[in-house]
Amino acid sequence: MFTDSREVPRGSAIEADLCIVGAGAAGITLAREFVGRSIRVAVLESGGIDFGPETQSLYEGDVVGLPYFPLDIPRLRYFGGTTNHWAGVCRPFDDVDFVRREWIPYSGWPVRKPDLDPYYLRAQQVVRLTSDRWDTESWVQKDPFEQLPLDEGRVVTRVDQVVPSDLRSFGSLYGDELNSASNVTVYLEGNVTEILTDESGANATEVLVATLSGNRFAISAKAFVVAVGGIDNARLLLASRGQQPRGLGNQNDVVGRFFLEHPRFVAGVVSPADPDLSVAFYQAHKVGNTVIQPQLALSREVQHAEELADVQFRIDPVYDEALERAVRSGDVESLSSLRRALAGDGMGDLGQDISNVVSDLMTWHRLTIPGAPIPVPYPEVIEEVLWSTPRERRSLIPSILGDVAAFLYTRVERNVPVDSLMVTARFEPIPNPDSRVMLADLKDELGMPRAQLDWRLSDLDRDNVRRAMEIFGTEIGRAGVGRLRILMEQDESGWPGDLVGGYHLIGTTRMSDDPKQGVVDRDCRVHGMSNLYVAGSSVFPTAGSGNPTLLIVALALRLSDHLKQAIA
Amino acid sequence: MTPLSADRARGQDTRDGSDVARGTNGRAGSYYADGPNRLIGYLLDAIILAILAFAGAVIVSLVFGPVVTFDLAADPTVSVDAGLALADVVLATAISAAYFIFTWRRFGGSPGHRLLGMRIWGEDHERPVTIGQGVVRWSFIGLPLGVQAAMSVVVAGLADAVLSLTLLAWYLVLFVTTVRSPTKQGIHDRAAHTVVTKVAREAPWADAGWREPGADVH
Repeated sequence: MFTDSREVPRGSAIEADLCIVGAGAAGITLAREFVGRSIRVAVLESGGIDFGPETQSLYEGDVVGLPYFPLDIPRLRYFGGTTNHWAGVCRPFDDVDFVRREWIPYSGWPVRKPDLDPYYLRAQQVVRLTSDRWDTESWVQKDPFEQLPLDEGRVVTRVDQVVPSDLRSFGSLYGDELNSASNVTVYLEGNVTEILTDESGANATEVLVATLSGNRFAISAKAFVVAVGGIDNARLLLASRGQQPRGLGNQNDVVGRFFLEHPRFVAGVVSPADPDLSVAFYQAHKVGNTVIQPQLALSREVQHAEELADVQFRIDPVYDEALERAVRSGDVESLSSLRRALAGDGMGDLGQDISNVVSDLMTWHRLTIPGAPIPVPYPEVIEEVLWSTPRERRSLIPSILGDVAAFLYTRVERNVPVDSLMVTARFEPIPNPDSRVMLADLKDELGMPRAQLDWRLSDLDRDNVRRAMEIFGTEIGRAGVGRLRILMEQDESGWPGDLVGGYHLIGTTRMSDDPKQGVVDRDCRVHGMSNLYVAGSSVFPTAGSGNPTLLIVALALRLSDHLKQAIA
Repeated sequence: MTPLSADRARGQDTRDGSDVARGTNGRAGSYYADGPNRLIGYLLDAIILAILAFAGAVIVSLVFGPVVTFDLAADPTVSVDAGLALADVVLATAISAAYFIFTWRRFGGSPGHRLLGMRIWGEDHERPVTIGQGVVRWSFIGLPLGVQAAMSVVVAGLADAVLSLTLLAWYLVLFVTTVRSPTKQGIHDRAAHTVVTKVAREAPWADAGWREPGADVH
């Protein structure tokens, strides 16, 4: 059931068997596993059912080091957490992602892919994937579009599945289930500001809960799970200094270190050899009832031979200048805003968006003879269209029919020839202890130190991407696809100016059997503590090749199995 | 189509006024032309007028230069000469006025309506439409299009869309008032004091005298 923390009697000491801090992908998955069991579960959610700016502002923090998004942007602080703006992209990590690679410092997980396979299967159901097929071949056979003719031994195609947008929010999907569960209580608007331990510091005893309205109470439990995201998992452990001055689990100064992202930037442009080259296969599209998003990557054999970390290449078509400008125009952006508004994903400037789209849709009107009772193009328009080459005719679409029509043309006619291919490289960064989350001097409204992010990449990362791009370029040329021009101009940060993350907050409470190299053990239990666990992508020791959410859920399911035994 | 009964057609039945071609002076077998027929008739006229407007635009282009110019090298950009576009509007509107007023007066209906067997009369069902009636009637049918077209040359985007929708609404008003009128007179007909009739196809029993539909015929 749902309870408003602001209405809990001040100073209460609530008892539960399991206390889960955070109701995002990991927290909700965990809580669901205990529905109907004889275990009392308390779930603490900082926000309410819907977005609230005051609560969201608790995520604000400092960014030092490499430029990064303001810290309240990548995450959402209300029921469902960051799944409320999740892009829905899923693919399990490969076997290689879990093993130690000698050329990648700090690589290797204490668990292996086969350990996680049963949980991946369950996770696929939790995130509502429509297919359990991950082998590229089975998708290619059913796909109407063709792959680029690359040497499969050198460059492989990976297929991500995309969860439909209406099924991505765990809050919407599973709120009713948790609300009706008699043994699960979700405390909304309740912020955990500190985890207390006994005098030994080895056993968590209770969490202190504060609300923005000023209420205070505590929850004690047999076991605690911290599941508040890749930055705040570390922040909460570091801020819990009652018995351990450096923070819980931080006896070896590892908490908050090894922050990882999936950085990406436009790393190259391919000039195609064939002017009619189509890359429709590499755009998100439906195969059967599943939306897939294929990507390219160097094969694991090549990565091993070249001692490279994973680099994934996303191929986006760049149409001729006119079509490209239309596709990226403000009118098309307004169309997207209207679609989002219709889907209930937030309202932009509705009036302006409607005005933009309608105005654009009227583009054709000025090219018809005014006063004719039915639309008749001017003679010059007919002449121009008739005498143009097919390529010129495509360039004319935005001028004659408008940007929105041109955009729809590129979406409906998937074989629109391209001028060039934009290659976005997304890479697996080398784990780096200097890339870290710390506590800032500034405190939030609840008196908790804000987070400070010092995101760093190394020369090793730069060399890795460059080498991967060189190999990719060679393969593109060898296959006759075209010529790759590598773009890696560095700004003052030492990286291209368009380098961004993917809202993937990884590694700050990394998993390792060695307490000096990790915060949690293979069961996600904090080293040196008996009953404190961490869930979420902060436990990933390496960023891997897949997007994190599916693995977050799989690990949460694995943790739930462990907790069922531990608590019993 | 609602057929007029023989009695009604002769104007002898005035019980409700519906379907009665009052004072038709014996134009039995005629209908007040209904909305769909008249709409189709106007669509045929619109096609003819569009061809004429296109011919006019070709002439304007040949005489004064192109109205639309393309520059494929830059962007590509398309520019429209507003002055020449206005000339096209004036020409197309003049063609429309001449087309309707002349054919109503001379042939008792525009080509589109005549092709469908419709005729336009004064309200007395005897006199053809006068030039004055034609001008009034056209000012409801053709002039709004000319006004909207002229305005659309100088505005763009959303305003253009609003103008187009307003024109569409205006024609909807003409259509609705036509189909709702017992004598199928839209506001343009009422303003011009005109009616539009359509000749009924000859029924098999026509020579044997009038029978109400469904009556037993031996």
